[in-house]
Amino acid sequence: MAKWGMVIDLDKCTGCQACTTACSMENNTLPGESWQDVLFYHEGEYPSAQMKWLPRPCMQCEKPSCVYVCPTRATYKDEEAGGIVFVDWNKCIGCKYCMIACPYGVRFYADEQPLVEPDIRDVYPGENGQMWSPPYQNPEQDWRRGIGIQPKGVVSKCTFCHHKVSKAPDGVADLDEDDPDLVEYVPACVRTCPPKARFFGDLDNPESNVNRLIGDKHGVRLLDHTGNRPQVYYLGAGAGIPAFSPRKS
Amino acid sequence: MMPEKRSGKPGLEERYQVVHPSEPRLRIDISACLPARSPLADCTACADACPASVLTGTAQGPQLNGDCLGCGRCAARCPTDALRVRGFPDLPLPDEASPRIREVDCWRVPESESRADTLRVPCTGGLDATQMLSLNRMAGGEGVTVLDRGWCTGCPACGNEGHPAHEAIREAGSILDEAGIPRHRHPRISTEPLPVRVAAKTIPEGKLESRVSRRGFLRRLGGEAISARAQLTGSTTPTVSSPLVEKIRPRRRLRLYEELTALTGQGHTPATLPRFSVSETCQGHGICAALCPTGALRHQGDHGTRTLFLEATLCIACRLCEQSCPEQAIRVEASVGGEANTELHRLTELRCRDCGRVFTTGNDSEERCHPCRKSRHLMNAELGSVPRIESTTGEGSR
Repeated sequence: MAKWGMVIDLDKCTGCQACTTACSMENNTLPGESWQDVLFYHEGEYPSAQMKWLPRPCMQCEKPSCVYVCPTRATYKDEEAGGIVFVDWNKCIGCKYCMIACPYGVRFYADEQPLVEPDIRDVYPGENGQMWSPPYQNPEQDWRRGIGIQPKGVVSKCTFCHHKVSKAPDGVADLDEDDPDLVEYVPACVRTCPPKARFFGDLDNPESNVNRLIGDKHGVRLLDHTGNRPQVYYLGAGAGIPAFSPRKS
Repeated sequence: MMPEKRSGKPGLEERYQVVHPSEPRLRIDISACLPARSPLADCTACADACPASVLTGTAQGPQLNGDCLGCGRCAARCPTDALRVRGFPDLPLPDEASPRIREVDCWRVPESESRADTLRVPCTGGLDATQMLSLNRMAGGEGVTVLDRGWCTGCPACGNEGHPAHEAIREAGSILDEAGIPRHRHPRISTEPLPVRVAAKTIPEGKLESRVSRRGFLRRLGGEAISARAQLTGSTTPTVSSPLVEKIRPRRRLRLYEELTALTGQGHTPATLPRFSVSETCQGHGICAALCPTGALRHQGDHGTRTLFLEATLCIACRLCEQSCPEQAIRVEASVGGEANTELHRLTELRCRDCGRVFTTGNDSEERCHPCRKSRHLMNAELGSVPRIESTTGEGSR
């Protein structure tokens, strides 16, 4: 089985948030609850301050700390599905331990009071225990993997668009949106990326484009000191990856 | 409770799957196995009870590695009835017509040696205290007799603590003592030796349940019919209930209360119910109730309050609540001395002035949620004596 990995080239990323929007449409997430978002931040001080940004999907860690803390084994890493970390909505009790354990902050529990009125959950009230029921709904539904419109009281997260990726032909090295045979299997954020800053492929396949990019352009993983070993790699000499600097106390 | 129990039968049989393909007698309902449900559970009751030491408790439930004897001692010890061993009958409830049973014998004894009115089970050690009480009731006035044929202590299914049924009989005896039943009406072990050469070498394997009661047979048949009908009508839509995680029905414990009701007219006594305490550090997360495998703990919110209820008759004292509480607020004080239904803790629901989230507190004059209070404290500590932090925010921000 493949080990799916994503490569995000920060030199190319323009911070346009098309990935965020595509993800929300694909997965019917609540407004404001983006499984994939772009963080904007400042680095340096005036007069050389820089504005930077970082697109942030779930890292699908090789050693996911969220999985170790789950008291019901609801969240699990599925090696059969390419090493994607899923939340089983049938088992999740919404204790949010995983959200505290995740070093990347990419797990979500929609209990916030919305910042703008009216509450979209009241406008499109959910049926069958679902959080809401938007006018457009992706027919894909797999609660065992946390795919579909989420029910109340569970944690949700990026699934690397498993409902698309899993239908790709066996042994494919890369899911490239430019290949008409494969375009339907490419994760929504990768497919939509206007500057083509995202790449998706098999990390176990030495011939894959993602492996070549990681090797040639020195791909790095976020917060590598935590030992979580993400399956998402960042490239970028100019834009730079936010460095870890231990807090001075 | 009881009508539900009967209509709850369909599906129950199909839930039980063999632990290992080589051993058809030992079956498990994995959804009811505590360590399979939660990594916090450290239950190894079945592995500890196994006289042949072939069961090991793992995160996927018990694993069989070796030759199972089929004695049923693991099933008798399982707190959630997750294990079943073939050959042990469903005993009738107190209000059901029950055949008269005076003696209990094991399958190794040739059938010709057992008298009439004898219940034959694979091993008498596979009966628990509740089943002993049921059998005692079925025996009528003088109490049930578990036969010791003289070879039990040498039997591989015995372990090393005397007669296999000793523990269950002692437990049943102490319950009966409390109910004021005189000693001569308690279950007892009686030695009626037979020569070892007539004994089957091991517990016979291929034997079908010879003494399934007609009622039990019909009930099982009815259950299958109902589940078949459910399949036909296609009721496969995911039925969502809150909470999503299915609770286990602690059948053995409820059965014990039914037997006690039949004995004394009063189901539970303080001696059978655990006592809980919840300290003031409780924040009302409700994780204990969400994790509670039997639904004994219930977390309810209405009318601006959130309340933690305990239905102690369902509690199996697995202590998952203690282990899961992030505030370490809930404690199982003792396994006895509790009340049936208690309100353990009540908190008020308020809306935080800073972040607008609903939070719970024991103090009605609190204005901000715990995280906001914490960040305020941090900010004050960082900025020292800047007094306006307390006064400016909050008012009119929402």
